[in-house]
Amino acid sequence: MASRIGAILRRIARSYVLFVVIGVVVGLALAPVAWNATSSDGTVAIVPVAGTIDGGTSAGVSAMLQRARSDSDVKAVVLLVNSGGGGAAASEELYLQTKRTSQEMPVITSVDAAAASGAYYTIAPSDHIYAKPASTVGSVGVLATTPTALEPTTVVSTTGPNKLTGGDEREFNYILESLGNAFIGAVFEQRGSEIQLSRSELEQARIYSGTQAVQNGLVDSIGGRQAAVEHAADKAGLDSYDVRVMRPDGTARFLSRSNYVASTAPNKTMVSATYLYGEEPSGPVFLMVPATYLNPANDSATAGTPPTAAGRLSPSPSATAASGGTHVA
Amino acid sequence: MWRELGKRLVVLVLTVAVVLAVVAGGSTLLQSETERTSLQNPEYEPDAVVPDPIEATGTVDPNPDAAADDTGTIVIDRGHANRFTRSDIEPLVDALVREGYHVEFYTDGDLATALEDADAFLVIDPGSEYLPGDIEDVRQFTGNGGRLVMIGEPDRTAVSASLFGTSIATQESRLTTLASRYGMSVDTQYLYNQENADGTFKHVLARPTSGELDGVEETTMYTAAAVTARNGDVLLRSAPNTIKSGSDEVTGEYPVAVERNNVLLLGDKTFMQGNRYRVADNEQLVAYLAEFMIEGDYEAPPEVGGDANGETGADDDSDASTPTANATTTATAET
Repeated sequence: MASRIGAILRRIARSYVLFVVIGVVVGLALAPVAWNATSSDGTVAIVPVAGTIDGGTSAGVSAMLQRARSDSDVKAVVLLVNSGGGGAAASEELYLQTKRTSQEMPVITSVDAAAASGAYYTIAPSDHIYAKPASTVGSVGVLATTPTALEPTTVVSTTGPNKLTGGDEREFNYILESLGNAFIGAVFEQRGSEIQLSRSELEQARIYSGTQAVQNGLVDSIGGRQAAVEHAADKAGLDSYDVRVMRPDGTARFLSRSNYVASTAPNKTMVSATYLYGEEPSGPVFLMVPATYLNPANDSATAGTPPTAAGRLSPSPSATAASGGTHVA
Repeated sequence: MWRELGKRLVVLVLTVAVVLAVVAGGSTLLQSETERTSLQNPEYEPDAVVPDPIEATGTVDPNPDAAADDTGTIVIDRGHANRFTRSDIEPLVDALVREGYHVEFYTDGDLATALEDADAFLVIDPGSEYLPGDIEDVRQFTGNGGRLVMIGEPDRTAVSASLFGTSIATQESRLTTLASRYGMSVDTQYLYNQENADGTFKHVLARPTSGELDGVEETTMYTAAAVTARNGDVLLRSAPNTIKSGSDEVTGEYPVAVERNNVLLLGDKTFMQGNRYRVADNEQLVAYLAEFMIEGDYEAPPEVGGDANGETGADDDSDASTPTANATTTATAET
């Protein structure tokens, strides 16, 4: 008896057929996983652009877009934007990233609470922009604290007259103007055929509601994330698709309460305007944010912000913004 | 036996792999690496983005009428909380001094006395209105050949800090009572121009409209107000498509310098600042201003009767008409 069992076992061990059968069974058991991975035509990657755009945000979003571009599964990108802009150079980096991505695959944007200034710069190369009626977009422009007129003294010596300030107020305005021209030129390059505003009108740097923006062409249509995802899949020619939500590392920082409230970022915090331009601006900080975001009144919403932010000595952008835009000589 | 089993296990693993490969399809393996192309950014073409700075060269070189005195006195108002610094007037003062003129400040006291020996009276951005007595003194002065130059500013916002935080106050050019007696007024809104500007939109360009300003093609003003004069001549108008703040959809060419007989009104004091007066043809405008003042020739009316005459004359033409008959003919000839 025992020898017969032993013989059967030996035969089983010698039989190829049985192992092939087992192989097929195991393979089919794993098949759904493989099927799921490839049955869809591709993936739509959702890349959030949340919070004030600084180097960190810019690096995070750039990394996500790079991953999306290098991943052969990803056929389209949806930018989920909820930001009032931020630093000028960081915003420009994001613009270039979006532009590059949109040259490789469809990029559709969905605006949450706001895509103002630098954030609008970021999304300008999108193929289609969705906003909600309560979204705010626009504020196309740059602001910076004008350097205080200083002269080299016996206390601070320099090798040249402009070493301290970088140039006088008039020259500084030329610098600022060239930044503004680049911004406006880029917006028109990307959306010139859609925008109904003249160059000067856009330069006024107004903010618009989502519905107003549809009228003037800064935005293409009203819609939320789902519309953006479907549009992206459709544009990429995907009948069936997966959606992958990318998550940035770190904490999203917000200057504006409305952006903060609308944000779905897992880690978020409110920051005061001093986060961008500092307590005592020592040099020009080029910002692409609506000046209302720098209003000291926003600071009260921030836990742990020194109350002195409103009492700054220099005429900060916030103070001038509060005054309604005029500036003292 | 174990070797036999090992062989079969290898077969098993291979079978699993073949099944998965068949299910997944070869598509993912066949995808080629997309070629990396460099990003073209024509929108950042420096020539299109960088604005051309306006040249800042030239010197103030007044060339007053030969008939003008070689010497005289210009009185600058300091008695009405006027807001200007030494740097604001220095290029003008320098030109006047080089022409042999004295510059005096009026701070308080009787304005008529202060103007007695003057040829021209310069009022820059006063912080308080002129009282009727002072206005009469100035009218009597201009009615007898003295020249009046008023320089206004749009409403400016002053940001100041104190223990209680930042406070914001509006500064107004209180020229209304004085200027209105000459049929002139200064607007409260600042002008801006997004197409023609010196660097930024608030630095507007102004161009001459008449032949008065020889050699001036373009001047720059750093925060200017529109000015008006009834029956006056417009010397300078802002460049096309200038906008008044607050009326963003209305564009125009607003007058920023007007002249009527021997009164001149400007809507900006910044064009002659120490670090701005060379920009564009500002130096020519400063020179014109100096000439205008130098060419004034006030002759105090004789004590007896003359005073009364002068005042009657001023009253006669009341609010808006010309200060003197002589000036009227000049104005008619000009228009």
